Amino acid sequence: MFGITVKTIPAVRLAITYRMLSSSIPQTIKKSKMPPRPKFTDDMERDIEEKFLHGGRGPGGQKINKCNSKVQLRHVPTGIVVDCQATRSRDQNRKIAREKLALRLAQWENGDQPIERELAKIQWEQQSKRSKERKAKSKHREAQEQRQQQKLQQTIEEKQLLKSLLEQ
Amino acid sequence: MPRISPRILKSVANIDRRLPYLLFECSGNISDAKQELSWIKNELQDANLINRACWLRYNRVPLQYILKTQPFGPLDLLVRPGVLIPRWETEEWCMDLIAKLPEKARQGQFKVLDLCSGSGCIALAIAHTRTEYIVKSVDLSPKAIALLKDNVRKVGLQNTNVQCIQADILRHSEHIYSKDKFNLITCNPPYIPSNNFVKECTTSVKLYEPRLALVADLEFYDNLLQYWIPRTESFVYEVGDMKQCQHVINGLSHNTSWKTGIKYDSNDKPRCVYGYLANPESTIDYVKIFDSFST
Ligand SMILES: C[S@@+](CC[C@H](N)C(=O)[O-])C[C@H]1O[C@@H](n2cnc3c(N)ncnc32)[C@H](O)[C@@H]1O
Repeated sequence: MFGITVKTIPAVRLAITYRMLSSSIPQTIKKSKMPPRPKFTDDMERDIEEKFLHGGRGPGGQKINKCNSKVQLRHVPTGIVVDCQATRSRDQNRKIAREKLALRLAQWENGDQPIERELAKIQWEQQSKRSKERKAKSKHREAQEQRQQQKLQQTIEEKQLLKSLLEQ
Repeated sequence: MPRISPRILKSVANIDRRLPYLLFECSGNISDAKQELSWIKNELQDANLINRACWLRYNRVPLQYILKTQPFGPLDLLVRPGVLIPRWETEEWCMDLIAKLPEKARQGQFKVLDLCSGSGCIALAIAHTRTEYIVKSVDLSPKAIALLKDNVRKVGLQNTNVQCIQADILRHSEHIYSKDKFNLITCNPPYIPSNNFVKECTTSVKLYEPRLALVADLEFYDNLLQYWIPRTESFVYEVGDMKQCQHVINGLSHNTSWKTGIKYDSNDKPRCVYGYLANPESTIDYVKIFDSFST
């Protein structure tokens, strides 16, 4: 239930949420004016259990050289668990896991609905896709017009040539 | 080498034809292999280099020697053959320790000595986060000293109080920084007994990492008891097993001014033995540092 991501939300529900939130989200979105990423707060830091998972039961230390360091966070009050092993750096993975948890908690507080930022993101992506399409279309049209213009020019020149030949 | 069935090799090759090469060092774990491939792709970009990296991984070359770096706490350190790659266990206790070290030591008041410093990971992590400390280091290997100097530059500490010298601490301890007394000595000495070396080390470690950095038993712990205890107010030594912890703790048990303890890693293995003076000459409160270090 906590694992719901935007992708797995049925289209109908998404459409409803869209309508619900359409008042609070402006029609066109600027990348610089996105609703902010949910913040990981000091309170959250106090409420988590952090685990480092390196797998294996061997003796460890100098005898083996592992490159992965997975970080797992459990938010005790809600039971929400996230993990991260996206980078080779434990420091980095700890930061990313905290961002993930903040997002998950914001979704949870929103009744497992996508939060404003995600909706804005979806809208922004669609917007930029549309504008790309528009640009592609207008490029196509420009090329077409140019070709027509060239044709017209050619016919004019041919006619003039003919005319001058006849006049001789 | 784990046996991996041809069927599995074939099926992962369908995802990416370079994955099968990575599967062996990942003990057959497909998601680990995918993870590794994504790091390799991110850091190398050029297709030929990526292919070569996967081939080297199939031949057990440590990933960090191929990518030439290893993260350590907030630092991204250079690594290269001939010098041990820093381990996550070392990073873990080192960062835990740093979090407890006093932040507002007066300039030059807190002196640290890192023995067997290798790439310099411990010394540089401390120097980076506690800039007013004096940090000195020693290693026997010229390759380690050269790498450490490169790392000093890599992390931007060239104009600071970080020093290193090449010396054999088992022979010349009393001549190393002989005028100094230290607040803290850290050390990750070689600690794999030679009769366990073949049995317990992974193939990759045995083939590609320097034996000088790995093989020893109690020599460095005896050296601590004999030469360094009189010159420091606290110490943290990494260990490979409980016997090495006990050796140090027993060695200090007659000396009531020293308090000692053991720190476990997040895999529940004993990983450090530490000790401190409850009533030191300096004003540093070691009880405060070490009380929370072990938990
Ligand atoms: C286990 S490595 C630790 C390297 C680094 N501190 C780390 O944690 O990754 C041990 C180091 O001790 C050095 N060493 C071995 N024998 C030594 C000796 N007698 N005197 C000084 N250094 C020595 C090796 O060159 C190696 O760099």
